[in-house]
Amino acid sequence: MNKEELKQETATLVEAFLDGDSQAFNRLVLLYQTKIYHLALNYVKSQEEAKDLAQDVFITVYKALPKLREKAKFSSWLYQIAINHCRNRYKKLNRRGFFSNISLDDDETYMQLQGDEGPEQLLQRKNTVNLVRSTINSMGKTEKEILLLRDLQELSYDEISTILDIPLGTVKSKLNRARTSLKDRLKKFYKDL
Amino acid sequence: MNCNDCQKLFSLYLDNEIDQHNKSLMEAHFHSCPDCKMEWQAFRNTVAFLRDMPMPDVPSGFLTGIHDKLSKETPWTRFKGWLAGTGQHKVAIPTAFAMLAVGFATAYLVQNFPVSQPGTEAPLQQAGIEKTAQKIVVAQNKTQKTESDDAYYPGVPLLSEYEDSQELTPIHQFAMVPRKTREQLVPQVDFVSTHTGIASSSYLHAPLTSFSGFRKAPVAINPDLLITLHSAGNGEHLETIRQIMQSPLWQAEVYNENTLLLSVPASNFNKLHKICCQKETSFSPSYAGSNHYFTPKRMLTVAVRLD
Repeated sequence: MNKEELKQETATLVEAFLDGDSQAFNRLVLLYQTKIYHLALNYVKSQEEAKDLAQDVFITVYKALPKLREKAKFSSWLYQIAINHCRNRYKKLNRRGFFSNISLDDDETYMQLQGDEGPEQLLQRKNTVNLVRSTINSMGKTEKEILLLRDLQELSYDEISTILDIPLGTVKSKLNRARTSLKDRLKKFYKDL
Repeated sequence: MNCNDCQKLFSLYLDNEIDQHNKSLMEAHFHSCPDCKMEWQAFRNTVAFLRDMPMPDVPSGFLTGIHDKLSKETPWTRFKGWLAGTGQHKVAIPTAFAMLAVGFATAYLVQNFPVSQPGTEAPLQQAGIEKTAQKIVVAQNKTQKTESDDAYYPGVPLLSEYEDSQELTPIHQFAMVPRKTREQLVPQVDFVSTHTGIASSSYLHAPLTSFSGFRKAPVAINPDLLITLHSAGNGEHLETIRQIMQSPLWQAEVYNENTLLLSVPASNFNKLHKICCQKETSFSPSYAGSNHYFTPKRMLTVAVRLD
């Protein structure tokens, strides 16, 4: 499903939900669950926590959707809710020292990489993925969020500007900075190898 | 276009958000600068790798979990949602502010409106001096620290020995203990009646006073000793009062505008005599001025009058 189709499908489902079709909400969840779950996982690093967090996002959506004024902006609104939930949960878990017990290299806490590559390539790819994750984690909050929304969620510059409530120019400059720092880190890593 | 400008535009170039003019400038720069071209390739590969990272599968039971949570909402979670303003009506924040405002207003009223203290409106009894005052015995109540009780009041019975009496006079305490320091062990001296059945001097039942306010109509008392200080100026008085106040074992109370009531251990009489006799002083009874004042009492009630 391309972006335009997704947008149209979303608009139809939102209308149907507001007209009392309870199945429309389920289909909305199925449309967005992977994206929201992935976003949550980038904040909380734990599958259990990410699942709980993403479910909470959809519960908020279920309750607050009747109040949404601009129905066409459902996607941005959903991401705003998700980002707020993620930030709050991250703060809460961080206060409890949750992240000190979680290793980014731990396959149990994150997804497994699969592919047709040989063991060496797979190991190298795994290392690169871990390096990318640790670099993203070490970024500033805004840069990290912009990078996640742009390159992992594939949102447009305008959408990111709306969701994070920051100027378009800032989105552009910070995205370039985030990508450049990631590039420099990977470059240095492979040079050292 | 220099290298720095070129690298700042990598993102826009990659996302095709760049205008045509800058695009052609960048492409021209790539032809002339192999370093920037290499950097650009690294940049493009990095973003491609990032976008190619696998998305994790959503755990099973995700959707049913949402419906379970929705159906299992407790009153507490609904209340939390209401506080967070996620419900149908956003009333939580204005309500919270209103409650805060009411709380502050109540606190302000409670603090600023005069509330009658117990006893302040009780009529002052003008009891006969000779009738009751002899029944007063000043006894040690307690010390703030237990060490060397006997050193202060040898032989004086403790208050606990009176506690069985039903007629125990309420404990009255002079309002001010002069210049206590932490190092000094200052006993709190309270007045109790050892007489059975009859209340002691009426002034003991009067409300506590302090230097902050004088009684307009002082009750009658019968001090053991009345010392009148005759002096030329206030400065001399003040010096004497200061010495009295700084005596750690004494308790003092302002009786009226020019009279100070003291509770002084009898063993301290010589010290009192020494302080007061620096000035022209008259004693009542007059024989006390001779520095040979004997009394069976452990504590003396002394009125110091400034003439």
